[in-house]
Amino acid sequence: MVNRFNVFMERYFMPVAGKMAEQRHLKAVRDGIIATMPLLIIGSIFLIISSPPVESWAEFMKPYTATWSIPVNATFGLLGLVAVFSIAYSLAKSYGMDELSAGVLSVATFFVATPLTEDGNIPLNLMGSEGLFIAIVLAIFTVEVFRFFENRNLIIRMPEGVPPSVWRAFTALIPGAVIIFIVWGVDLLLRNAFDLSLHGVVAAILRQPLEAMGASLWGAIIAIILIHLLWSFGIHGISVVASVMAPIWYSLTEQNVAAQQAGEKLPYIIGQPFMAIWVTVGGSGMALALTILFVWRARSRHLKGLGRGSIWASFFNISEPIVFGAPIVMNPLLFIPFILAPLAVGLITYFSMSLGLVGKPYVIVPWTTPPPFSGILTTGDWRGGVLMTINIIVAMFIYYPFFRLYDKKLLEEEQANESVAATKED
Amino acid sequence: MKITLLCALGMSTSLLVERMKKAADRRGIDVKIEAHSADDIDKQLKSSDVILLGPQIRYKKQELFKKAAEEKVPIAIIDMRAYGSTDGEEVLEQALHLKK
Repeated sequence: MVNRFNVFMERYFMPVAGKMAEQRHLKAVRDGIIATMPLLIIGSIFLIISSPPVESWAEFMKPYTATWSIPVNATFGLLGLVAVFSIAYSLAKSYGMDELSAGVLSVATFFVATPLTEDGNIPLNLMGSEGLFIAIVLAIFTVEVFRFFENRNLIIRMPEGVPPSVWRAFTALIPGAVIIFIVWGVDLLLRNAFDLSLHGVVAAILRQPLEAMGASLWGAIIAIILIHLLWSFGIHGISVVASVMAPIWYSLTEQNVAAQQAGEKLPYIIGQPFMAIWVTVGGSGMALALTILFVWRARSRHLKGLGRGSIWASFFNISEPIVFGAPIVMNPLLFIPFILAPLAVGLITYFSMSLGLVGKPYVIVPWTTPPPFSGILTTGDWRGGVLMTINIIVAMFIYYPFFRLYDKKLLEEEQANESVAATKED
Repeated sequence: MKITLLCALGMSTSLLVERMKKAADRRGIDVKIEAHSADDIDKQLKSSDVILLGPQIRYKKQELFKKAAEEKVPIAIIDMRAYGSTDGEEVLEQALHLKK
């Protein structure tokens, strides 16, 4: 059964997953957003200091909050603006076009579509996650129109011998003018005829439905199952799922950041830290729990050795040695708890946070941050560390019966092999 | 000669790289072995003699194999079992065999 399912997966599912992950536009969006990662992590450091979770400290910081918020606004707060450049850049690069022109042009497009405040300033709130989805739309639009013009040769060609930096500037002229004209025209039309804005329209048809889906418990459950099902067949689940979900998760988290800065209640539980940190302690499948069981309780030499060899990797949330080594891949005895453990942890975490027992996550940390520190840092709450420790223990209980069965089976095989005294163990 | 291992981020594969280096040392083979993200394939194709993919990104096989074929660099997916047991010897052998 498992074998036939595997053949089915390899033949039909794998190419689809590959196409999805390698789809040019999705990939450009993902690469563009990954490019903002360093900014988000740096911003998180300032955020923790400026809006600390400890009340007495927060009181002390109050007079300085505005000053400390400058770096936060310049990192987290510019997620949309930076993304429009980096997404257009990645997409143009994948087409082999002039990536710098495309990036520069898309920034201008982004501002054309952004309504100014009444006193003529750039609204900071539209530069952050609120602007992320329109950034995606405009970046793709800019590059595609640019490409349309290039393919039809509707560009100014320079005679030979003109240096590349000069002809590049001219190449972008005609498509650039047309792109800006179109975006400007559409925005004016929306504004004058319907009293809408491009930002508003994209929010209503794209951002709000996607975020509602991404922020829901059901959305998270489906994502967790899909990620771990993929890993059960030895495919990098998070890479595949995040190629669609990453913009949504980042956007949700950035709204928590904005709320934290404003001293308001955090709106979301699900987001980047929930998916990349909370349900994947020790790597996908809460693998740290299983690794601890290997080291602590395994009687078979294979699992004991594997546990000892990979406990440190697992501590830093790298689970491939366990996933392929145990193996969990194609091994129903282990991939059942491998899917159940993160699901249970996801539910416990969700309800603990929605009941207010533990703060909601709003800080982005590198995914290699070990537990329970990642739990404390992402939520800015020491109870986050307690919850994460409980989660690991729960995962150990879920793994335990399956682990015992598998360990026993391996031990019997090892003993049988030894009595034959022939095969060499590795 | 340079062998390049690609996985999602080049993180988990770097463990295997260390084992392969030891295996190469033991056998006295002069070889450079590195781990990188599959997104860097264009760059890595230019400097590598052999490319090996971590099994977890084999869903990207079509595109990556096509690119490697264009640059005429031999490429293969690392055997899942060898990858799981971080068997440096075996994967090194696979790489050397590909080059031939």
